[in-house]
Parts: sequence; C-alpha cells; structure tokens
Amino acid sequence: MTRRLGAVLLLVAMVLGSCSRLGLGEQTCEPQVRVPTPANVLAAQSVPTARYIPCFETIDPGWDSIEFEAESGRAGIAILEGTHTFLAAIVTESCEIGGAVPAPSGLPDVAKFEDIERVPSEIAVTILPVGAGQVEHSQALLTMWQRVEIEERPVTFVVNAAVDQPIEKRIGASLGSSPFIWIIDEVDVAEYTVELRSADGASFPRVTPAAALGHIEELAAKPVYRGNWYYTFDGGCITYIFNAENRLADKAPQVAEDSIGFYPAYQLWSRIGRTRAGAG
Amino acid sequence: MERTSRNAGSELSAEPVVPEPSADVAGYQRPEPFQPIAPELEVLGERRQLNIAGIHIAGRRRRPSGEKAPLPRELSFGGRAWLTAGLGIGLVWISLFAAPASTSWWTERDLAVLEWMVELRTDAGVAVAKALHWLGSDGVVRVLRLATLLALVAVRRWRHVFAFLLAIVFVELSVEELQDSIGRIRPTVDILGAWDGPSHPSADVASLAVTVMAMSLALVPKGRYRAVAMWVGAFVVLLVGVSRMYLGVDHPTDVIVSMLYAPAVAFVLFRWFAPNSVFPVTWQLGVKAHLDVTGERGEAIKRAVMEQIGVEVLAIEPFNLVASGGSTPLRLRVAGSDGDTYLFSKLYSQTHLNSDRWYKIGRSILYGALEDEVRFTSVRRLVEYEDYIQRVMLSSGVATARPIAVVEITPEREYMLVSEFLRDAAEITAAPVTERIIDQGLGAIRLMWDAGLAHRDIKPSNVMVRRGDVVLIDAAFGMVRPSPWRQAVDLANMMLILALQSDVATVYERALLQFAPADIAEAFAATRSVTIPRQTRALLAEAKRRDGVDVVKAFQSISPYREAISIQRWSPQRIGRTALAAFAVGFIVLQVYSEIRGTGVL
Repeated sequence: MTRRLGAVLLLVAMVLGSCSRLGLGEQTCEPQVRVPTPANVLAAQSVPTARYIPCFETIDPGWDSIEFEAESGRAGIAILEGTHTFLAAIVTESCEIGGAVPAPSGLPDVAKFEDIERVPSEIAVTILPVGAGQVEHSQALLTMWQRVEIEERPVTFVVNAAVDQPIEKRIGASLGSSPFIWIIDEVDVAEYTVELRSADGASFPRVTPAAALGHIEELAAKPVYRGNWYYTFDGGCITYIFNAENRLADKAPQVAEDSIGFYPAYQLWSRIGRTRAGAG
Repeated sequence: MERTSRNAGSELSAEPVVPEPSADVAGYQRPEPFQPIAPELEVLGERRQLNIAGIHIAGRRRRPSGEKAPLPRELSFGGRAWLTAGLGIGLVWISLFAAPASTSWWTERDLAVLEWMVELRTDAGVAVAKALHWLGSDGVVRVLRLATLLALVAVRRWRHVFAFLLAIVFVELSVEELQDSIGRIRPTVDILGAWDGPSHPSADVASLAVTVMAMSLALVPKGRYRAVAMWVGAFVVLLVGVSRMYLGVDHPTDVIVSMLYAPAVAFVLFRWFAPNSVFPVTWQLGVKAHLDVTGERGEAIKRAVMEQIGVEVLAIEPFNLVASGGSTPLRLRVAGSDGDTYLFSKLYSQTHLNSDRWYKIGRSILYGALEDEVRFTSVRRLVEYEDYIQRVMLSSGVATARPIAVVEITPEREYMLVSEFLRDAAEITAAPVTERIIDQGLGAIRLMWDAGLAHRDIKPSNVMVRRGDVVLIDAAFGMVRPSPWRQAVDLANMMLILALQSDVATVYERALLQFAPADIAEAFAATRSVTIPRQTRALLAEAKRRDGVDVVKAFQSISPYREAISIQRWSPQRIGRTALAAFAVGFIVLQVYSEIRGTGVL
C-alpha cells in the first residue's frame, strides 16, 4: 500500500513538475498583449478603478525573494531580504498622504509625495577649530582620518573654518547638518585630543581621535530608509513602503526607481474583455 | 487430554463431555448398500465439548478461504464516496497541469453560468448573498474552529484535537499552494464581494467545508446525529458557495472542487489518525482512548473467540485500562460450569503498533542504544512476540499468566492475545508482604537472570500476589538476552517495590540469599530516576514524605560501593533521531505559529 501510494505521489509530482505551465506568472511591467499574466489581472481586479498597478521592471537575481498579493481592495508586490520585507508597492483605490511632501513623479498623469525617515550609512563629522590657531591642525586631522570606516560605514570629515563667527553659533549650525562634531582648542592641539559632541547631547572632552571614533561607533544611529512614497493618479494610489536598514538603506530608493514600475491597468481591461469574449 | 495430565494439580483440569448426537445426525438415512457402523462412532466429526478449568470448550472452526474475517476492514459507502470525490478532483487537477489549454474549456462553462447568475441579480438578492457570504468569512470560521478546539480540549480528546488541526492545516496549506500553482484569475464579471488571492480552488469555501466536516467527525457521535450534522454542514457550505457565485467572487468549479476536496481530506485524516472504531466520539469526560469493544467489534470478538478457540464469550469488559497504553486489556466472561468464569485478553490494533513505534523512538532518544528498540512491523508480529515471551517466561519457571491463544479479529490489523485470568490476585501494594513474598519476588528475578531474560517493566501493578504466591504479569516488554544493565534494573525495581511494602534491611538481607552483594551494588548503581517506573517513583516520593526515608539511597548505603553506571550512549542513529525530532518539533511549532498569524488558521 505504501509503495503504491508512493508511486501515485511520484506520478503526481512528475506531472506537476514537468508539465506545469499554469501559475500566477510574474507581475512584470512588460505588456504582454495577447495573454496578460494572471498576477497582473488579479492585481487589476483588486482595484478595478485604478489606472495603474505596480509591477516589476526588473527582477534582480540577487534578491532573496519577491512576493505578490492580491485581494479585493488592494494588491501589491514586495521584495524581501531573508524574511524581511524592505520594499513593497501596494495599489489601493485611495491613500492618506498625511504630511508627505511633493516630489517629481516622472509621469505626466501621476503625482508623487514622499514621507521618509532617512539615516544614511555615511557618518558625517564636522571638525570645528575654536580659533585660527587650530585650523591647520584641523586640516591635518581631516587628511589623516579621511578614509576611515566604522563597521564598513564611511566616515566623512569636513572642517568648519569660519573662526570669525562665535563658536556656540558654529556648534549649533554644525550639529544641525552632521550628527557629530570634533571641537579643537589650544589644549587639544598640544595634547593631540578632541572634544566629541553628538547631536543627541553626548559630550566627550579631551579624547584622542581614535577614542572619539570609538564613541561614534557606539552612538551612531543605524542606517535606515523608512517611510512611504505615494503615487496618486486617476482612480487609485500606489504606495511604496520602505523599511530598509543597514546596507539596504542607501540603495532602497534606487531599487524602487529601477525595479518597480506602473502597469497600465486600463489597457489590461480591454484585453481581458477580448479574452472573455473569445471564451464565451 | 494431554493437557489434563500436564496440568494435574492446577486449575486446568479437563472433563470430557460428549454431547448427544443431534436429531439430524441420528435421523440420517444412509444409502442402502452400507450397513450402519458402530453407534459410538456416530458422533465422529461432531463438535466435541470439554470442560477445562470450569470453562466450556467446544470444537473449533477453521475459516475457509474467501470467508470474511470476524471484523472485515471495509470502507463505508460514505467513505467510498468521499474518497472517489477526492480522487476525481486529483485527476482533474493533474489534467489541468498536463493540458493547460483545458482551463479555457472550464472557464467558458463557468462564465456562462456566472453571466446567467449576474442577469438574475436584484438588490434584495445581493443583500441576502452578502449575508450568506459572511458565513464563510474568516471571523466565523475562526470562531467555529476555536470553539471546537476548546470543546475537544475540555474532554481531553487529544487524538481528535490532532486530527482536527492536521486537517485544517493540510487544507489551508494545500489550497494556498494550489491557488498559486494554478493561478486562476477571478471571474471576469462585476465582483460584488470580498476575495483574497487566486480563484481556484475557493479558499473560503474550503476553509468552511473542512471546518464543518472536521467538527462533525470530532464532536458528533457516529450515527444519525453525525449524518444530520454533515448534511446541515453541507447545506451551509452550499449556500455560501452559491452566494459567492452570485456575487461573482468564485467560479462554479472553484466552489464545487473545494466543497468536495476539503471534506475528503478531513475524512481521510480522521480515518487515519482518529478512526471511529478506535476513538469513538462520546461525551464522557476522561475516558481514555481504547478500542471500542461494543457494537460491531464486540460481536466480532465473540464470534472470533467462539470459532478460533471454541469458547463462548458472554460479556466483554474493559479491564484496568488505566494501567495500559500499549493495548486494550479486556476481561472475557465466558460460559462455564461454575458461574462467573473469566479469561484475560489483550486486544492489539494498528493504533497500538503505531504507539509502540513512537514509544520506541522516544526511548531510543532518551536512552540511546542500551536497549533493543527495533520496532514491530505488523500487529501480527507484535502479538506473536508477546505470546512468545510469555511462553518463554513460563517455561523458564517464572510465575506468570498462561497464554491460551491468539485470536484474529481483522487480518494484519487486529489480534487478541487470550490468556488465563488471575482470579483472586491483588496488586502487591494491597497484599501483606512476608518474607515468603519477598523471596518469591526476588526469586522471579533470579529465575529470569538464570534463563537470560528481563521483564523490563517491574512495577507494583505488574507484581501480583495470588493466594500467597507472587505472579508477574504483563511481559510484553520482556526480552531474551537483555543487557546486564537491564537485568540489574529489574532487580533494583523489584527490591524497591518489596522494600516499600516492608523495609530496606529485610529486603537486602533476603536478597543476599539469592544474589551476590556485587549484584545488588550493580542494581543500585544502574538505578536512576528514568529507570524507575512512574508508579514506583510516586510511591517512593510518598514514602519519603511520610517516613523521611529515601529508599534508593538506603539501599545504596548498605550495598557495596559501585560507581554509577552511565546509561547515556550516543550513536549516530541516536544523534540523527534526536536531531530529526528536534527539527520536526521546531518545524511544527513554527508552522502552526505562522499559520495562526499568517493565513489565519485559527
């Protein structure tokens, strides 16, 4: 009995494996004029009013996996890193853009809005010489540490040499543009130290540059690219949901630009109509 | 007659009773040319009846070729129908993959039906259909499933819980997989209801159908009530299916396939893991799952015992079920010359074989390669082994119940081992333990050691005292040429039982009459918590609480010192099994967790 059952299962597996030409197919942006893939049709059926549905322009073989979902009212595609979804694009009939800011969409009939929290992988450090006597030393530090990396994250240095302005004003301005500053005074020059301050209020006076980098490693926020892009158009909205961290944080927006496109659902309806007419 | 002389002095004595020739035989007209032979030979070929140990023994009957077994294994009409439906659907699916163009043919028919239904749409009709559609929604199905699980857990029907969950998980996963593999779009008509994912097979109809079928199988006793429950369930599923078609959510074939496929899966899995014949649905709290010996099986047992060993069974009574997990122990009240006369029997089925298999895998993970954990490959071999080991014990002089015969109930699937019933016997915990009893208990171990045997399940419920003599029962785990470790464990367990009923010093003293001090030292060096049966462990704990005496340590302190014997042996097989078990448990937990969270099984 077990052998017979095994033989039947093997036969079924062979048939399914070798003959399978059914399935959802990929939700690609390539317009397949005669036979649209079921994935595209299902996405269009999810939000029948939507002029566009999200689709894959390219599928990078380096991605761990992609997912497709369609249900009444919403459909989407997602790119996964392991089990973590770092980018999804979902079509709905409408969307709440909240405080998102307008951005160019690249399409004439589509408006784009962005609401993003971003921490780049690059760590910016501003060197602030307190007086003119410390500018040269600051430039030397910049030259010496310019190529340093912390946990594979590049550290970029810039010297704020506007010593004619009050130091407190310069500190405030620098912490607004970079998360860390090194303040150099006369004693620091003599002892080859710096005062490290971070945007979140931490302060480490008279530490060596190497020790300051050690503190930066502990304090630096994880690189992220989180939030949404909204594309609104006639009859629908496509929301890109980003949740990228670490090495993906920098490339997530580019992946979104390069890999995800809009499939013209309005063209699909006429083709489904023909298919249906042919069948009926 | 030979039996009479061999058992002279025991209960088994024979008194031949020759019945009178029946009227038919007496009146038989023989052909003229032959003269009647001697009248006393008239009974030749008739059934003979004996009285052995007060039990009427009649002639036995051999089942001729082609005649059905006492309890033939047959699918009911309903079962055949569900299996046929399941197979039919399987073939349709295979044909879809083998010839994808055939999908258009199905779609044409489906759309023709749906377009006709769309033309029939009215506002009221749509409102009713949406209400019916709600019956098949996730929320309703989850409530039904949770309620069923709670009810099953409340009455501790673990087999049904397992089969219920398995049916649901299997259907959910397979439907999801099929939906993605087939990738059918939703009907190209105006869709008025909610949907999720590809269209074929209909996931919502399948979820509801498997739930109501599994509920019927797990909750409702077999018979008229279950039939009614199934019909009501089928009607509800049909209403939901029709409403989904009316709303344009599913194609007709999506609904029909799910309505047949999901219940068929539930039916097969329940039949496999919780067959009604073995795990009947009743609403009695705490009834341990054993083979149901009433109804059809009860009649089959009576017929089989009558035909195969010639004894008329008057009543079948479950006996001491609590102490047994590997078989269904029964007491058979049989026709006899002195009122209530009994035989003892153990009924073994495929389910017990599966239990034995899992038990041995568990033991091999816990104890490694110390023991022979080769599984039995059939019920016949399991029962043959128990019969054999009982006979070996007896022939070695160990006092144990005498096996009488193996009775076939269903070929290869169910057998019954019939043996002597130990009348007037009591568990050792209920009997006064004298030095004579101690000597006999230890003597039984000595006999097994000398014969190269081990009992492997020495615990109070298996050590009986009958009319002042110790009798060991339940030799099912017995072993020929066991490891010395196992024999040592037998000795330790027997000494512990005896000491619990008397005292450590006396038992140790009496043991030295039959065992060397080194033997006793080895026995307690081999003793661990896992080597002591649960029942003994409980009694030891109670003794410690009551008297403040740790019996195991007391024995260890008075016997010669010996380093504890390690019982952990690691072999590649054990490592593999342990890893596999850990993986399987992890996988199941993750699967159930992700199903509960992701696809909403519950």
